[in-house]
Amino acid sequence: MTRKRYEMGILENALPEYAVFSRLDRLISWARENSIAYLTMDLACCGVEMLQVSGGRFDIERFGSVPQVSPRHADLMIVAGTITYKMAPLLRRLYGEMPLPKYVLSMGSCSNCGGLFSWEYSYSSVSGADKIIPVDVFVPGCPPRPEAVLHGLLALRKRIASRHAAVREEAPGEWGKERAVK
Amino acid sequence: MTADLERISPFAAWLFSFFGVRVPAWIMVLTAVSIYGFFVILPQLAALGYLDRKLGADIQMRIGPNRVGPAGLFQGIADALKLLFKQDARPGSAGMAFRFAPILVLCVLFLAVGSIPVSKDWALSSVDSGLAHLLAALLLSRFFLFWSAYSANNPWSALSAFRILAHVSFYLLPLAVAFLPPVLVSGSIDMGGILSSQGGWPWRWTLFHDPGALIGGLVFFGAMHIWQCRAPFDFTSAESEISGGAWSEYSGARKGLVSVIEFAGLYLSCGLFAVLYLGGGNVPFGLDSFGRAASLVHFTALTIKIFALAAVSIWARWSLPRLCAGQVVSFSWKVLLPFGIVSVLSTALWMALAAGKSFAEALGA
Repeated sequence: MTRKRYEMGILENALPEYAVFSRLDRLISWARENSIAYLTMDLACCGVEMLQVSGGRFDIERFGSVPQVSPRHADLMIVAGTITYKMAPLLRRLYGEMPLPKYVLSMGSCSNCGGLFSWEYSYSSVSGADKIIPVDVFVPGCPPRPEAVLHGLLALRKRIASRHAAVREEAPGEWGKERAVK
Repeated sequence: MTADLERISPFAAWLFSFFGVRVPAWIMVLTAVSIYGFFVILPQLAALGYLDRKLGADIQMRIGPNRVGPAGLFQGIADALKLLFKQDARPGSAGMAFRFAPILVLCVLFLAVGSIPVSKDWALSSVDSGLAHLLAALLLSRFFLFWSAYSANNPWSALSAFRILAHVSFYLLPLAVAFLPPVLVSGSIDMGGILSSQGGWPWRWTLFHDPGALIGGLVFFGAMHIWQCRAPFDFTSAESEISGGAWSEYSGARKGLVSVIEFAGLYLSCGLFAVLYLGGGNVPFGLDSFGRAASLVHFTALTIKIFALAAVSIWARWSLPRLCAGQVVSFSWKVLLPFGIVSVLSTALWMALAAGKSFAEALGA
């Protein structure tokens, strides 16, 4: 099965590689990296730290990022916390409802690899968000400090800037094949 | 023909009075509408958006956007560009109205915004029925809002749609009552007439005409806030209960339209309050006593008033918790409506007893 990764949406490969379009490309990337609205997926205790990021001390809005409650309004999903088997289908569904282009930031050990609740120890949780949705940035920590999440956001900005909005990239990894089953 | 055009759209007549060209009237009106929309209204809406974010951040002891341009000034441009190049997702079960309803809301709001006169020359549309036209536009915009929410075919949006319908009954009576004191004072339901009956100094504003009008002004500002559906009255789009409500399914460029609609509502409520009660673009000291370009002075004065009012509105928005529907309706019917009726009656009584003189004139005499 050829899985089409809708990384950059309908613009992908839509424009020929002319200098004018490369400037347009740069402009679109600039807009995208400077206005990342994120969907707050606070699944567990990491969620509290994620809320801190938009608070007064760390203020993620400096980078133009605002929290959103509707997946339709979001560009980035911050998965913060343990993904239980009960929550996993909803996570996938919400990811599917986000409009393209969309990014995922996995925050904390639980959503990076299962952490304390990985398959070795727990019967009820998914060992990492990348088992069910493609993840762009992993932020380690249990939970990560808000600074670490901001660093993750900066890494995501670099990732968006380094890509071309209008040129197709190489095939992505087989992220979706391995389902959340033991 | 110029006289007719001046009666329909003073702004178009003013604009083309600088050029000696003869073009059909519809081209003049179309040009005037485009110029007014894109170069007069839209920059102000963007500035309101920026003010909202920065002031809100300040109230929450944050910094707010500061990475894009000096002090984050270009944040709105980045947001708009991003939304333009995002997928415009539509739920498969959504109806046709889903696509067109936000555009219709914006059109109807622009009808109302265009009828706010900046000065005698600068009014995009001059409607004889004035306030009746305005009230109709305010209500119709909520109807299309209901349409957009209901057609999304999403439980949260449907709940929001019913709340929007219920919401009309909340603000309608106080709003309609609070439209009356300026009408009583100026003796006209035409916006231009109400504007020209006021002067530049505060004691010549409708707000300070008499005690009844003062109460009426406060009721009007409150009722327009309930109409706007912004916090603390945003139970129609509460993100904590119904996940964004009416707008929860919109993405991409239509999400951008939603932001424009929100700030057009803010602009409209502040602009109406400024024109009906705060003397609009009138300036003291005869600052506007030079030629046709004096409209720019009026425009500056009105803009300052609108932004000062918007700052108050944003202050309320970021510092007050959201009221639930029952609290809004009791605020509206038990506080705003009785005060509104009192204001209308006492303004009428004042006009009869003081023979139309304002409070300041009565003191002077």
